[in-house]
Amino acid sequence: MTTAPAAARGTSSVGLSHLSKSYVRNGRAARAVDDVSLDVSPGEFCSIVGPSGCGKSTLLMMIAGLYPPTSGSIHVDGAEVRGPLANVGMVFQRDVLLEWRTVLDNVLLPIEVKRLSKHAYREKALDLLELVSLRDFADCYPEQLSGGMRQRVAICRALIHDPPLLLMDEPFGALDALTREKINLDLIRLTALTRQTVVFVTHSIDEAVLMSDRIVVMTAGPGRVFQSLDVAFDGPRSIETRAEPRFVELVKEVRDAFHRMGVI
Amino acid sequence: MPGSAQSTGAVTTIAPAARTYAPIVLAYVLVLVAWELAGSVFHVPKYVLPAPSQIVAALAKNPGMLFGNGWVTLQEVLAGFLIGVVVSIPLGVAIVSWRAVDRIVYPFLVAFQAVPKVALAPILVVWFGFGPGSKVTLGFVTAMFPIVINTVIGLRQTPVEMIHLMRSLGASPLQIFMKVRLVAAAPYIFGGFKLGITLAVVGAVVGEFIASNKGLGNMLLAANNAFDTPMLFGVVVFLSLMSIALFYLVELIEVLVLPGPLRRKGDANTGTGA
Repeated sequence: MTTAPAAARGTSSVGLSHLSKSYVRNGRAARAVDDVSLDVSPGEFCSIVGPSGCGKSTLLMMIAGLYPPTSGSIHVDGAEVRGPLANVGMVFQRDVLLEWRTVLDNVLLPIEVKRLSKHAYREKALDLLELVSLRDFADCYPEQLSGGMRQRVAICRALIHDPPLLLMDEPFGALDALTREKINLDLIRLTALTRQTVVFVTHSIDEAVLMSDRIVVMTAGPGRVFQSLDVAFDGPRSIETRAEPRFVELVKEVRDAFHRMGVI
Repeated sequence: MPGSAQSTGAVTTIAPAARTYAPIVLAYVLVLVAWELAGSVFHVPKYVLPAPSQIVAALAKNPGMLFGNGWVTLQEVLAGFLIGVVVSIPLGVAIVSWRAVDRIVYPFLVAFQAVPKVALAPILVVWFGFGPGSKVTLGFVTAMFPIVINTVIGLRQTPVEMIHLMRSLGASPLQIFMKVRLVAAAPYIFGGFKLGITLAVVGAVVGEFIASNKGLGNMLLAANNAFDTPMLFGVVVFLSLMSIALFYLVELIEVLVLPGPLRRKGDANTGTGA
């Protein structure tokens, strides 16, 4: 567990209790998420890893209040989630930038939706873009950007309104390995500044170990919590973290969990 | 945006353009010349295939009548098209928004599209009379289908994640519609407009064929009855020019209204729903 700056302002706690979700598929109920209980502390970076189809994304959508759970409950900051949370930052595998808006206007979309002053947030948007080395592209259209650059814009968009909770659904799944590493480090830097609570869905074990305070390993069909591991390193995460013996050890531990589940 | 042209100046900017368009222009000129000569060389009678010069002469004989009738037809086309727009877009929105409307209206629309509109014309004359009403209605029903279909296709383009994202920001359904779905659909809707306006011309002219005393369709009938083939050709040329002008007018509006990235997207999609 992290030593989060004791429930710093602007970070959320998330509590899932006996959460289940079933879909009706071909006339039969299929269980996507089964009895998941999980607590994420304020400021914690919690990764959820698991094989494809383990209900990771469904879990995330339920936390966001976008899918109603079949049973169980979700609490964010102690309040039960009953509809879409109006103040989260979301990043998906697809960047879903609006092609007709410039990079800057894409980042400012949340501000516009919330009817805040775009003028007041302009500098902040540019600062965020600076942090991911995209300030020079502020006036470009997304079509002029590479996949990795677009996803960095999507991350800035998720952060502009200071959401206390970031929900990320395989945000780097569509990127090549090098780009992915660069954005991993960008995101570590950004969240280290803000100490937001992050729930991060991924199927990359490396990525999870590199970024998380905690890793929750889920089983497939139906999705259950298989194991939860705390991740701690001495000092901040960096490009060198991957070379640390502790990193290798943790990766092996997660891998072993997958092995015991019979996935690999 | 040819980068080479920018760096080397005006002379080279013209040269590639000339190289691209010169063969095309030349080809058209050759066809016209061949057509002009065909009459005298192969002794094709004027009432079968008038030479381009004879067509132009027929048109020049009474420009007042041509433009007068053209104006009548143009008004019918524009009225039919605009009613088509006003009806089709809300209908497309309703189809996308409510499953029940989709299930009930969509099959009806497809079935209605299968009805040859020309066959409807006599009925519409019975309902709306000899005047412009029947022509406007026929223009409207012909223009409607591609606009509705393209609106539906366009509104369905928005990725579900984008809608999730908007909802997670507390966006209202109206905000989601105005800021995301409608804008994303705009290139498709304009594609529908481009098809719709040329179809509205067809509808109006067919309406005039059935029953009318003015308009370009009526002029065609009159020329046909008088065996005035050059005039027939002339009116067809004039109608085509009107249709082309209307098409590009819609395209001009599209260019003025849509931001760059959406415009380029729309270009590839003009054919949808035809």
